[in-house]
Amino acid sequence: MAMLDTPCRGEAFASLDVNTYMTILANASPLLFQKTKLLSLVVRFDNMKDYTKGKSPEMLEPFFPNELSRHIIVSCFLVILEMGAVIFFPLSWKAIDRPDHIPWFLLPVYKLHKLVHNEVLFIFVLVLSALLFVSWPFLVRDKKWNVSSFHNAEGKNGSYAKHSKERCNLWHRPVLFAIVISTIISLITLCFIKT
Amino acid sequence: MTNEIESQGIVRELIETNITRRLIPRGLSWFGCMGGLSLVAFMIQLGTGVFLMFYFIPSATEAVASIQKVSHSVPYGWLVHRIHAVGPHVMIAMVLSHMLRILFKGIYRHPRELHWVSGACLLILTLVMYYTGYLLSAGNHSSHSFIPVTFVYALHIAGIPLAMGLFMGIHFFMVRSTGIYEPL
Ligand code: HEM
Ligand code: HEM
Repeated sequence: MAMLDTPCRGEAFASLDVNTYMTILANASPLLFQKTKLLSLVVRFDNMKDYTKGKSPEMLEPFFPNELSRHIIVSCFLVILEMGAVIFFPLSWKAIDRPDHIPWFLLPVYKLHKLVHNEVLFIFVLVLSALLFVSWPFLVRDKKWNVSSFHNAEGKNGSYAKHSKERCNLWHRPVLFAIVISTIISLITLCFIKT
Repeated sequence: MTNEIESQGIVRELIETNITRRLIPRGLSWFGCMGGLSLVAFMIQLGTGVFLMFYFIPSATEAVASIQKVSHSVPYGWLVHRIHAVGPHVMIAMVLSHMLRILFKGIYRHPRELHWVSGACLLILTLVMYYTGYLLSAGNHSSHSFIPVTFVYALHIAGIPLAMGLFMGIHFFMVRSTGIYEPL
């Protein structure tokens, strides 16, 4: 793994006392780390992407502690959001015999069921939309896009990246964009239809 | 002894390459967190779900009484039950925003098609999770009891979570090897 020689905050942490806890760690579970080859197997099959390839030091930042603290902040945000939802979410507080309710994300399915009286047709539509949804990337494949994004992902050459920036968001492909937007609008409309 | 030193080396390398010496691209968007938030929300469901498992009795006759017991006589049982009932709404909102970001930014393109496929399966499994959970709590109404409660229960606490774990493993492994999508 190619590493840059620039000192960064992450490195300062790395030199903190790695040796001490490493010894403890390695001895703490002798079975996993010493008696079996499991760990070396994991290491061999794991191919993490190296972000340092083709980048200058200014384009990078240490994962630890920067990214790690970001993860923690964001997780706290979620916990607060969830606590807020626990208090304010409009769901009956009764533990049992709750009035029947349709969750907001299943409303379109529920309305569709009301509109389509044929059970077989209803299930067919559901399965078909699930299949279309899962295979979306393959349905909308575009050669030109793929070449550029491949090089972009590999980080081989900055100039490819520029090319891919031109046409990477969905709104740069008007037909697809129209399909997606009209699907979303019709799903939302479906929720408000009176049946 | 050499084995010991060798494994220490491996652990050390693992920690260094994954945490302490790892460098990541600067300026990633906060929106990129939605995937991680979906995971945190799932973990909350897992934690509260295991707690409920200790008390819930998956039988048409005893389910009501067991839920009643959880929410009235177990300390903080009402809170855990409430979190498990409201959590899915938050989780699905997170998963949907994660998906919409991927969709509108075109991140499903090569080489990330299979990330989308595994993710889409995760979304469908999450919805099925919701449905089976709903049947468990509504099982008391007995109007839905055309499927045996034990069957729904097994699906909800073991079958689908295992499948989700598998798909998540695949999902994360692939994200790790292609790296996160970087706008330039
Ligand atoms: C339970 C549901 C899901 C969980 C826990 C999950 C988790 C994650 C995580 C943690 C990442 C890492 C980067 C990021 O957060 O963007 C990621 C990336 C990704 N996910 Fe998901 N995801 C879920 C559902 C989905 C769905 C529904 C889709 C699309 C249909 C999807 C497609 C992707 C793609 C394409 C990436 C790669 C993004 C990139 O390279 O920047 N995931 N997912
Ligand atoms: C994607 C994750 C999950 C979702 C969306 C979900 C959803 C639900 C829902 C909506 C209910 C009905 C709650 C109510 O309204 O009373 C429920 C009940 C239940 N869930 Fe989950 N759940 C998830 C994960 C889990 C896991 C991982 C476990 C166990 C390991 C679990 C165990 C239970 C149990 C025992 C009940 C019955 C108790 C009750 O009715 O409150 N759940 N779940």
